[in-house]
Amino acid sequence: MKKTLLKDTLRSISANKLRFLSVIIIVALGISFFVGIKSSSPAMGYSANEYFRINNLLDVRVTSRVAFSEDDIKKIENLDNVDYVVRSKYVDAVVSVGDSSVVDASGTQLTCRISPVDVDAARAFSETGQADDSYVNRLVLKEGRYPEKAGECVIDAGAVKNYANLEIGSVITLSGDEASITDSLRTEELTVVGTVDSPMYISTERGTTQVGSGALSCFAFVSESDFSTNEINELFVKVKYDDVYDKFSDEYKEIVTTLSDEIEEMSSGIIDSKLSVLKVEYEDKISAKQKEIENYNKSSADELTAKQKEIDEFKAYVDSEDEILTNSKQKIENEKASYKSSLDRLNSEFNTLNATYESNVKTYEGQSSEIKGYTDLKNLYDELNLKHTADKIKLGELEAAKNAAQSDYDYKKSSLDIAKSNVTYYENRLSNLASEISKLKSEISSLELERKELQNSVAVLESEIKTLEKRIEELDKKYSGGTITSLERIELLNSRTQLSSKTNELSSSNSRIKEIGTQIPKKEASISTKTTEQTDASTSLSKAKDAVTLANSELNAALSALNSAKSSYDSFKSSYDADTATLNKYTASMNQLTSGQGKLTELADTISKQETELEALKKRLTEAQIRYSLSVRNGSVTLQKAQYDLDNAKTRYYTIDNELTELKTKIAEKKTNLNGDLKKLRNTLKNIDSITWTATAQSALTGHSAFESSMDNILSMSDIFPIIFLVTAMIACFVIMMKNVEEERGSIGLLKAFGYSNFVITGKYVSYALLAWLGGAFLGGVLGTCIVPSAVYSIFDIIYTVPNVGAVFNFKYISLGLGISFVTTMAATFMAVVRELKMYPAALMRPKMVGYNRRSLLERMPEFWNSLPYGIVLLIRTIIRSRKRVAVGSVAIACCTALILSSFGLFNSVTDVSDSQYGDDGIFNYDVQFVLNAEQNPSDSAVLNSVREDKLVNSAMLISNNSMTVSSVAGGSSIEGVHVVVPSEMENIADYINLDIIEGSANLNEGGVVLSQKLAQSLDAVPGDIIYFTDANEIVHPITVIGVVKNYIGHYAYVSPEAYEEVFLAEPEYKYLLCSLKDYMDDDEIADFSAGYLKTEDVAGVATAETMSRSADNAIRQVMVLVVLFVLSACLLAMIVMYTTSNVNISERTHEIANIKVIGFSDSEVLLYVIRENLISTVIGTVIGLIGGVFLHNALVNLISVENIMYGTSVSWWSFIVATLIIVSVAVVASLPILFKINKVDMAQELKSIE
Amino acid sequence: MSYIQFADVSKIYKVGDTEIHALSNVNFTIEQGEICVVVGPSGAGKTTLLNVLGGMDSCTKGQIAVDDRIITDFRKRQLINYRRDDVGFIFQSYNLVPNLTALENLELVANLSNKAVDCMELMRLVGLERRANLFPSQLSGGEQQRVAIARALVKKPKVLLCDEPTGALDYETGIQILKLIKRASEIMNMTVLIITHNNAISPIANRVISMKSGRISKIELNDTPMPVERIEW
Repeated sequence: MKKTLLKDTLRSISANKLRFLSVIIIVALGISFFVGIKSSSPAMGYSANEYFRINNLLDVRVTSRVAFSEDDIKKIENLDNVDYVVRSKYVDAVVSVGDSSVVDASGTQLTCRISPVDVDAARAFSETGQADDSYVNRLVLKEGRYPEKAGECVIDAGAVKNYANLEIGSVITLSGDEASITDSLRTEELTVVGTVDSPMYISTERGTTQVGSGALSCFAFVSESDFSTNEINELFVKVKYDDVYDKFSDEYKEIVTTLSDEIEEMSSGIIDSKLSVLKVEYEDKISAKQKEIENYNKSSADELTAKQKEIDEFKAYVDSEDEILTNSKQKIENEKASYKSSLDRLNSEFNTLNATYESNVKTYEGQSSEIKGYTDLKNLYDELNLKHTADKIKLGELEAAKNAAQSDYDYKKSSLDIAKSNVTYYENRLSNLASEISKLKSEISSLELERKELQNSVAVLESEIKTLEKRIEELDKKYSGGTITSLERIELLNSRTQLSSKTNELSSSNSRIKEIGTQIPKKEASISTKTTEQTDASTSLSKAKDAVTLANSELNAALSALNSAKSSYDSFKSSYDADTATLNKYTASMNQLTSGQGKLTELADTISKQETELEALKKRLTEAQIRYSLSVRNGSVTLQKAQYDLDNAKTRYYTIDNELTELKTKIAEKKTNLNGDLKKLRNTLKNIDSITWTATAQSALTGHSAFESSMDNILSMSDIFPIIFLVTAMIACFVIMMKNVEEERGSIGLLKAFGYSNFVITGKYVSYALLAWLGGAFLGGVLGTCIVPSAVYSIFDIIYTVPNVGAVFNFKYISLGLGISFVTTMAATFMAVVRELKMYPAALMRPKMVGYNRRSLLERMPEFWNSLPYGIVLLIRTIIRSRKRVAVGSVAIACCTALILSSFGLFNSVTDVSDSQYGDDGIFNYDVQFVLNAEQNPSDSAVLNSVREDKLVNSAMLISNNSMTVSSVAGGSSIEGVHVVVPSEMENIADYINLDIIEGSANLNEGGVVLSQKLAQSLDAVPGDIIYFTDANEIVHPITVIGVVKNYIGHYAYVSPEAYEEVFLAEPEYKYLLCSLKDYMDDDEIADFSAGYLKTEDVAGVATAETMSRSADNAIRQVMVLVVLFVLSACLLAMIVMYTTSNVNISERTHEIANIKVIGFSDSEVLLYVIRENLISTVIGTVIGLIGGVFLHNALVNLISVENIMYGTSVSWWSFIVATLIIVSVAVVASLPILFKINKVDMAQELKSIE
Repeated sequence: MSYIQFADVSKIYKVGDTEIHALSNVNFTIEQGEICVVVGPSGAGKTTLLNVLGGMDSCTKGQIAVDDRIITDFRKRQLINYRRDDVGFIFQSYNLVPNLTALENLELVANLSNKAVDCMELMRLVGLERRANLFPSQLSGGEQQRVAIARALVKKPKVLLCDEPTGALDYETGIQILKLIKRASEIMNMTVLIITHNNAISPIANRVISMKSGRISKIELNDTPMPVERIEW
């Protein structure tokens, strides 16, 4: 390629780094998931193969109940394909730690397989990784060390993890079922010094055993010297060139299966001769045993009779002694009673008196103290009284002084009054005189006035008289003259009368004047006397006034003296009065005091009287007491003697009785043992016919097939998940590359116009695509090879001990993933480029013609269409316009939503499990399961009865629980560790185990077996099918399936006691006791309860629902890893796809964006306008994804289901919500960068006219 | 004060180290209701002038006032509202949203404005009522431009900015478009700014601004604009 063009390519990468990066990440995600999950399964296989090779795992394990002879081994060694044979031995035992048996998750007793290990070789292997071929099934030391001395062992690391009381340092006690452990081992107690993994047991299952419940719980290794037996009962066969084979390949399986078949066939011939010998031996043993039992029966019967006789004799003696004792007891009792009654009477009398006495004393004391208070008061009173008397005298004196002052004052006052009255008198006199004088004076003046008037009237009268006289004269003359007229006559007459009256008047006036003239001097004389008198009175008055002043001053002096006397008296009087009041108050108290003292004296008398009485009574009482105790002591001496005799007799009697009981127990035990031995011998004899060698191919070892099916599960899971992922990624990639080219059509046209060949131009874009793809492929390859398989394997880590080797370069899947992604990326680029190149340069350089939009179907209905809101119209237009992008976005979102939802669903399923099984409404409703030491008879079991009587227990039932292997066809692929549960009480099973029927019937009385769901699924069994149970003795029993019930953890088969007997030809061994406790008990109380029973002899072990669910919970954490992985990658993918598609969208529509920005859309409105299709695809994708997620989850659960766990298939509501929230926020986050892009769109530039 | 006022407006683009003076110290005024034609050769700064007046671009220096508001001081949000409410754009390349029908293109704008004219009414005004439901790609250039004019008129802008409205059209259609613009301006009392390099359009304007190298070389006032029908090119 031309250098400039290369530059151009690199520039276009750096111009849009994010998009380039997106392509890389999309490719990387797609490839890593595809490669990663696809290669997880091969990686597991590779890891396992490596593990088996390095640890030199056996190819075929041969075991025999009859020891192998060297000849036998030779024969095996000589078989084709056999490289070499390693000899080993094992012994299975029931394990207990300390006092109690250890109980495993299904509530059964812990069993252990002990084998020898070459300690030196093992140690060397652990340190250097090197070992001889002869060291097979090499152990991996996890913790601690290998045994260094006798009695030490290394134990199963998985068991230590699961069983709380198994740990390094604990001492385990072993016990066998039939044979004693010491037949094989030198010791019954082993100290755990280390933990190991063995390649023989890669899963949590340990296989079957003939001891305990039938399920092997763990294994242990001791140094070879700890084995006392030399019998070889286990051989490890290695085939030739076994390292060459893939242990999971059909070829290898064929080889080992054929070999094991050969060995088993061979055994029948070899073993027959041994068996007949063995048979005879056992028959002899049986007859010997029978004889022994007979003999024992007889001898024990004799012994018993003798003992019984002895005891009967003794019984009579004891009875007589007893009677004596009873009689004397009665007599003593009577005597005692009479004394006692008199004593009691006295006592009560005494008590009554004493009570009165004491109450009196109390009263006395109370009153005494009260009186003492009064006495203090009395002293105060006396003192006050004394003072009061003195005060009284003083008061008298003061009063006298006051009275003297008063009388003095009074005298002075009267003097003053006299003086005052004098003054008044003189004053009055003076005023009288003055008034008299003035009266006289006024009389004088009035007299003078009168005189004057009189004088005046005299003058008038005199003139008038003259006038009258003159007239009279005239008239008289006339008259005399007779000239007088009548009138004048009358006038003369009148005037004459007038004259006479006037003359009279004149004379009276004159006399009056004269009289007045005499009166006045008289009066004047009287005035002058009065005036002298007045002067005298005046002098007297002033004298009297002086006397008043004097008297007044004297009075004042007397008054002040009086006042002082009065005040001193008053003040003293008031203090005196106060004292008087106080004294009066006290006087009442004093009176009380006096009376109180009187009473007190009386009381004291009474008390002293009572004291004497009491004293007398006491004396009598003491006498009575002495009498009583004397009689008691005498009586008890008598009694003690009698009792002593009786006790002696009884002790001896009990001793004999105990001896009898012991004898009985011993006999019973011995008989049971003998019978048990006999039964076992008979069983063994019965089984001897069927004894063969058992050859187990490596692929049939416990856990190996499970491991393989896990691998298969992942493989099938890898057919769904990564493909969806890859497809999504590739669609996105395709769209991006197409758009990438389309965007550059201008420059393609330009290049073409310049004359670049199509090849070169194509090269430019192909190189861009190639670079992106290379980056993605590299990243994806690394992730897919290194990270993803480890993450996937981590969920199986809990079950399998196979170490994860890590990166496995899986050429097939890597090349497939790379190929698909390469083709998609390149094809997209090519198609786009070729399409563009077909056009003429000029056309290319013009903006792409936007063909007219498709009309939606709705537009065919104009009325409806026109009535739609504008927003909806825009929405529909957007969907139709960007249908491809919407589709791609929807698919991406849908895939991611489905992935997220199913991941959460997976989490739901896993968390559900233990709760569904052991929870309150789960399958197992019982609270506690006891493992009993001895087989119980359901109709008469002491343990059962005692548990049922416990107040904390609601109900209890015995069950039998055997671990067996089940297959759907005789000899076909089998499932180990199936718990065959037989309830002792058919009608009550629902109280303990919830047989929630799925198919068929749960009525065990119909005679068949009811299987748990997962078991039925694994066996592919439906009601009506016949399945085959293989018991610990390798005997196969067919039985019909009648129903399938819900179950989540473990495999269970429920059988009725009748059916059990019929099918297994033996009675069920009821060694388990299920307890349902009172509802109010919490976990701690349940633990206390079970711990209490664990201490009793009958109970060997306990499992509570809580302890059983704990182990299941571990799985949840593992699945979380996968959930997080899926969710994160799904989010990443969704985000990148959304981002890239919308990014492409933006680049394509900058012109339109500029256009609507010019119109006046704000940035947020533009965003909404542009990402509308993102929103649409989010909504569509989420809905589809949620629906798809449910299906995906179902598929997943079926695929990943491990071993015996049945995962729940429901997805909880919160998973839907969280998944939706996550995906919506992913869409939102992916849309955010677009906001910046929108901001950057330059309107002016985009809309510029072409000039 | 004039309706549109440019005071010492300069626009300098920086491309690398070189500065391009798209506008240097431009001063002019346009009165309300006037039709103003800006002529000049390519690169004279006509489009830049239109962009800064339309609020699509900022200017480096100087002040632009429209209807007594100084748009050069506007913040981003104010500029968006200014474009949304006050300015109508008509481009040479029509710039219709291809995904929407003619009518829907109008509605797109109508939805933003609260003083929007009835869209169908406008389609009638531009004589396209029968073709309202066609997509832009189904319309001829003249029809598209008429839709563009209608779209610019939907919000009754104060100022109508036309960037070479007839540039891509033939003579007859161009005349039609100009007539339409002129009529709309009269009906709505809009101030119209037409940018063209076609001098022949000048006679229809009240005011002709000639530009050259980012500067105004001449401003002519024309009291008696020629009717559109009579111009020729």
